[in-house]
Amino acid sequence: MGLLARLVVGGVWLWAGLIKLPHPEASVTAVRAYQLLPLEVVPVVGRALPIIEVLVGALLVLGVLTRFSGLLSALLQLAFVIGIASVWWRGIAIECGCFGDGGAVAWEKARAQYPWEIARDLGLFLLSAYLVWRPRTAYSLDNVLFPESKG
Amino acid sequence: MATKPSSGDRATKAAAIRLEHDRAERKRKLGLMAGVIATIAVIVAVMVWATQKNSGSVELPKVETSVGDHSLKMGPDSAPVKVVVYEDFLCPFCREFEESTRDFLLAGAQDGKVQVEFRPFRLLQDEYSLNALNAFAAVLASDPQKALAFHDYAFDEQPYEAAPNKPTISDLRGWANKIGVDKSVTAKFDTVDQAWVDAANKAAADAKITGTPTILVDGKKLEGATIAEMADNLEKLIAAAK
Repeated sequence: MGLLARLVVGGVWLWAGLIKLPHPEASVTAVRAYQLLPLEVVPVVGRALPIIEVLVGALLVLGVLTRFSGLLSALLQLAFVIGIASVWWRGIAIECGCFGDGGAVAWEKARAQYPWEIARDLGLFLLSAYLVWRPRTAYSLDNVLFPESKG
Repeated sequence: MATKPSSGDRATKAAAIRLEHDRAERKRKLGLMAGVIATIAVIVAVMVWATQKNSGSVELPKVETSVGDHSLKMGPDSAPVKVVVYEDFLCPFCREFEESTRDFLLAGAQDGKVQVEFRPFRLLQDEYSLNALNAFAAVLASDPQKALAFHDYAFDEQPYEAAPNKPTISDLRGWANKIGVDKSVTAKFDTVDQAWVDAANKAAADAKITGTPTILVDGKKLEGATIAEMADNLEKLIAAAK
């Protein structure tokens, strides 16, 4: 279970981050589209997110500091859920910008997507939270770096 | 401490050794964790810093500029590649296009490889879109080089489309002041030059422009599913030109 959670969540993070990594300016547009954060911090957040996503994904897949990376992953998913719920609530129609794209779309399309995006992120949140609760998983680097003390 | 029988003494010693060992082990783990977390933080910070553009400077771009027909031209008339950019100061994808292409377009214009004609017009029915366009027109009439700097600055400072408190005319005046635009010019920001705005809009309508950003390269529409793709295609087209 723990191993599966790590690979699923970590794999999604790696995928999402690697798609966005080559286009930092597009990532900034995606973050701006939420019209939520103060404008001054948006460029930094937009440029940092893909990098953080790749790192969290790599840590989870390898199983390094699982409790810490699981916590980071859970907090990020929670932030995304809040972000999507907020644009839905305010009637702003955007692509979530989760995997590359991002920016304005037709309202009908956006409204149809929001529930699924929130459900997906909540699922990933639960898997991440599980790893915070039970960070010891099979085939993780943690087992090598921090061996369970005997006795 | 009271002296203990030798067997107990051995047990105490063993416990002390185990304690010492546990302590060393805990120290090693903590050090390792701190090391990994610090490394991650440093990687993120360095990469963000590396992709960050040094915006904020209001130096005038050192490039040939001229006034077109309700437009601003950057680069010489002799340039082999002619790019036309239809844009709105409030359009989010125009901001992304500007930020992703500015450096190589400026370099291309400086090298005489490309001439870019910026054609801002009013697409979005928002007060800010109109005020920014009107301010741009006033600066353009006085000095195209400062108009280019103002145009870049306005895209850097673009507000959220749905923001209730977008930059005011006096904010626009503040931006122009930083660029060194004369007071007699910024005074014109208060009154909308409707004839100019109408003419800019008509030029876009005549060219059948219905969305922004629309970019023409030598008269042909620039293709691309995303802005990033459009920027990449544009850079290649300019690089391919002699």
